[in-house]
Amino acid sequence: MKLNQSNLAQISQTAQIPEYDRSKIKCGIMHMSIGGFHRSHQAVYVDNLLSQGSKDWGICAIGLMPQDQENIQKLQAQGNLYTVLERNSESDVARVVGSIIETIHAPSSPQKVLERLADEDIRILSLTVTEKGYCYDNKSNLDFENALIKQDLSDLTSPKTALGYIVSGLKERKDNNKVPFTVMSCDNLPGNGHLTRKLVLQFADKIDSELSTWVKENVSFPNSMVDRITPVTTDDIIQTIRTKFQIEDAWPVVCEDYIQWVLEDNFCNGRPEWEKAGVQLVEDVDPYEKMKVRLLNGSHSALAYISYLKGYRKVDEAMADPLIRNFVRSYMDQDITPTVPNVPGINLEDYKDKLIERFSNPAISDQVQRLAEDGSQKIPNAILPCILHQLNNNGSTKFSILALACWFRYLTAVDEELKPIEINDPLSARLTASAKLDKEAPIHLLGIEEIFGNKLPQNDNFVKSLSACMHEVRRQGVEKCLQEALK
Amino acid sequence: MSISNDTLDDLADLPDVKTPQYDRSEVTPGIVHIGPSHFARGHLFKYIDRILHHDSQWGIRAISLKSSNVRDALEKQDYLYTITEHTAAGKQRHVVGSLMNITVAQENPKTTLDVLCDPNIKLVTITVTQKGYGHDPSTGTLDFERDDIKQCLESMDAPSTTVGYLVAALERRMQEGAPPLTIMSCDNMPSNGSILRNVVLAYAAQKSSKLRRYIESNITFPSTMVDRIVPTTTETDVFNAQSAGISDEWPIITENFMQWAIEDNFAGQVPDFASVGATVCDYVEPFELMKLRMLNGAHMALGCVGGLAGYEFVDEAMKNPSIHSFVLGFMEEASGTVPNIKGVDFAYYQDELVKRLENPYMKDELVRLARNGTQKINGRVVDTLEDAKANEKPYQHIAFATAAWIQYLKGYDEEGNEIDINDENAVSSGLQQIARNSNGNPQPVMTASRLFDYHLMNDKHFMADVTRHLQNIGQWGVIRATEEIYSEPQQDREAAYQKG
Repeated sequence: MKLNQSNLAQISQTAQIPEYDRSKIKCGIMHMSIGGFHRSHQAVYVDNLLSQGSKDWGICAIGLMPQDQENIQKLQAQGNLYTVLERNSESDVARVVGSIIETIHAPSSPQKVLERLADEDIRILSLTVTEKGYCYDNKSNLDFENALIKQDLSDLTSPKTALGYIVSGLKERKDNNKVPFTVMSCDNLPGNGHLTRKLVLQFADKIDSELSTWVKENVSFPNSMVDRITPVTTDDIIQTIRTKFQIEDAWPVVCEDYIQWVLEDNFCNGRPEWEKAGVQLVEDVDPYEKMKVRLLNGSHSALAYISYLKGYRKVDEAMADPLIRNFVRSYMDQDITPTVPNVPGINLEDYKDKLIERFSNPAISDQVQRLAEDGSQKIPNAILPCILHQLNNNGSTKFSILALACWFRYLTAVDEELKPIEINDPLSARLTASAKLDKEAPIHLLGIEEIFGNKLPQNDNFVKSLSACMHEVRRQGVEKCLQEALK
Repeated sequence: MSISNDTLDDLADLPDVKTPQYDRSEVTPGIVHIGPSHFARGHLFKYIDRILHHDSQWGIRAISLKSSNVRDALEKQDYLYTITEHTAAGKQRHVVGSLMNITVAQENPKTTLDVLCDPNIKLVTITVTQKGYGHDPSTGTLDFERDDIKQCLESMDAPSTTVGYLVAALERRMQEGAPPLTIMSCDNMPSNGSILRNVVLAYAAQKSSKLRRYIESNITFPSTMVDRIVPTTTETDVFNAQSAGISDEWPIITENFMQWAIEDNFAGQVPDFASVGATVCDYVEPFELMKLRMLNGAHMALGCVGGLAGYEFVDEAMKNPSIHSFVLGFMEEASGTVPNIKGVDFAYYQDELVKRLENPYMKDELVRLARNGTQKINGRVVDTLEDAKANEKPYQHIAFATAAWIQYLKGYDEEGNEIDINDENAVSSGLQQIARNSNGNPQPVMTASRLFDYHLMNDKHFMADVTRHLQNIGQWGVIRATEEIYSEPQQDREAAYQKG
């Protein structure tokens, strides 16, 4: 059965469907940029809200990248409906989500995006553009050297970046005496709201200092912590949805049954009743975010390179290897836990147990390569702050250093069996050349200031331990190094 | 004819001499250079001389930390000197006008700091050799245990090292509100900018965290990749200049190749490097890798092959057509493992490298290229081999270089003459003895050296290739063996011959 509005009644026999009249829903949220995670997470929460009778908070979803066009066309061909396949070890549940009312491919129609953003019904602009989408430098300032930022600063009429759209949209609101929209980052950045605010202000200031003052005084940027493991949608998933649920969906999304969203209650122009949809509204997101980014994202990055080098391509298969499983738990316990603040109402031991269980979920079978990509963007947030914290407090860094050494080994683009590795990272050319030069001591790699800053490369003990570990990884292979570390 | 501002017009009349075509009296200082070495005078100062032809604000004031030799020689000639570039086709002399003066820090510490703190100075360049940075080469961090650094840290107001002077000057620049500064290492040292940044920041932190933060936000340390062979000037060179009618106390003799890749990471205004043939790029690591694998790798291979064939000098060996084509094949294979670099044509680079090797005036010794093989072969040959193998790219020439190195380790050429392999490590670890006993089998040396990946050595095809090359070298000599790089293994061919 082809997924579209008119077939929903029939589809309801195998899957949960939106029980509300989608034609009556107004878009109150614009989202950039549509991908797997937005559709498995925020759009699901909004779908919950709409099911409870809310009418003002539909989503107008934007694809920012040129390559988003194909998926947007697929979605439009099915009335912007899509299936979420929630999997745990026992069962698969399919749910058709109806909260995305409208989709626009920004590179093909930038004017249309700006037009929609000018509509005062849009009261929230939410973001999942990944770390690199924020275009910030190693000091967390706007990277004015970034080619796309340069372009947007010189011509705001057809933006290329999320920041360009935000500032252009806010400028329009200010110039026409309209109420601004809230800018809500849902990416894994430390203090995502604070950082987004800083970057928007720096951008706006270059356009007009009055604009930045207005933004400072009128726009809110709530912080948030988001969590749901969402692997890449493969043909297998499309096939499963077809055979198991008789739904013909060109772009479904697959995820675990776990979901969490902790959000700062800081909205300048109204908000949906998030709490009714299962969102935790709190005053201070920071401890939640540190816990999640360091334990989940940090472990993800750490296990990715080790698993890849050991020959695994699926996370659950890697986690079934006792060496890797023990490594992940020891890494969490010894290197990360001492750096995580107390989180109200959360037992860290349970949280870590749950993480191990989630990583090991065979129904999800996440891709190792997905976790390994963009290391240069993820590791500075998820792993390096813990190393610095531990070095300053004489804590353990043994497992983090092994993780880094394996990342560096991975970046040489040749694995332990002399097979090529495809490195996906915005800095891949520099990283690979550096890793090939640095097989014994990490002088080039640690010299990349936007990743390592100025403190770690000058810490003698750290550099020596890392060099020694790289040497061992190269000479003995990752398996022996894991055994050594876990002795 | 002596060399000075007054004689420039006359010098220009000599055959094959070029002089600055700008008015030196208009030039203002914009660069401070620490360490006016042969290399700096042959490379950096030459680029800046080109800059001065269209932008007069980049004159160089040099600082020599201890030695007064260069100052003493050049001050008499208004800091003008000649560069003689030798090509296979002939030579060309240039009078270089970019150096304005030299201060010897040990004699004039106060002037030295004044020069570094001049608000008109926007760029500091450095060539003080690897040893001059005060870092531990194994970590790239400041070595607090080194005597010169210790001493400098004890009396920070009277610095004696490069890093000491830089930090003292930066502190004053901070206090005086001087404009941001770019400090650029031009030494042939991997990741030179980040090492310089490491030592300056670590040293500055010993003074105050405020100073460290000031440096972090106002000073940049771009990395650079430099390349030009500038040998030490000899008495003969001085005499040769004299015979050409120029009495230059300290001429510079060099090849006609020069290269400079500079990381685009500047704190303020800098010369328009790209306008004079340097490359300004986002990062220099790919250039380093290209040089390491194509030039240094070929050097290593040529050192072994040429040495075995009984040659002494690089240009002589390159005259042998078999060696020549082997070197080309090696470079081509090596280039296949280097990531593409925007604006760089590997084929063109390779042609330039070959011309350099052929240059009869650069009397480079083969034993120098091949020395310390156990330390060098990893980055220059083995890694290249692994990359080529992993990506299914051709590797026969690189495998041949490996075999040639194993043969070379034995320490005698094909006539039975002894070669000093200049590799203490290979001798003391017994590797040389293993090579001598290995009798056409590469495995024992490769295993004992611990330099070769397990998978590489488990690859039957690859090991058969290295074995075949090693046996060919033993049986026919290295020259003919290079000609047989693609031939069938010996037994097969003999079997084929018998059948035929």
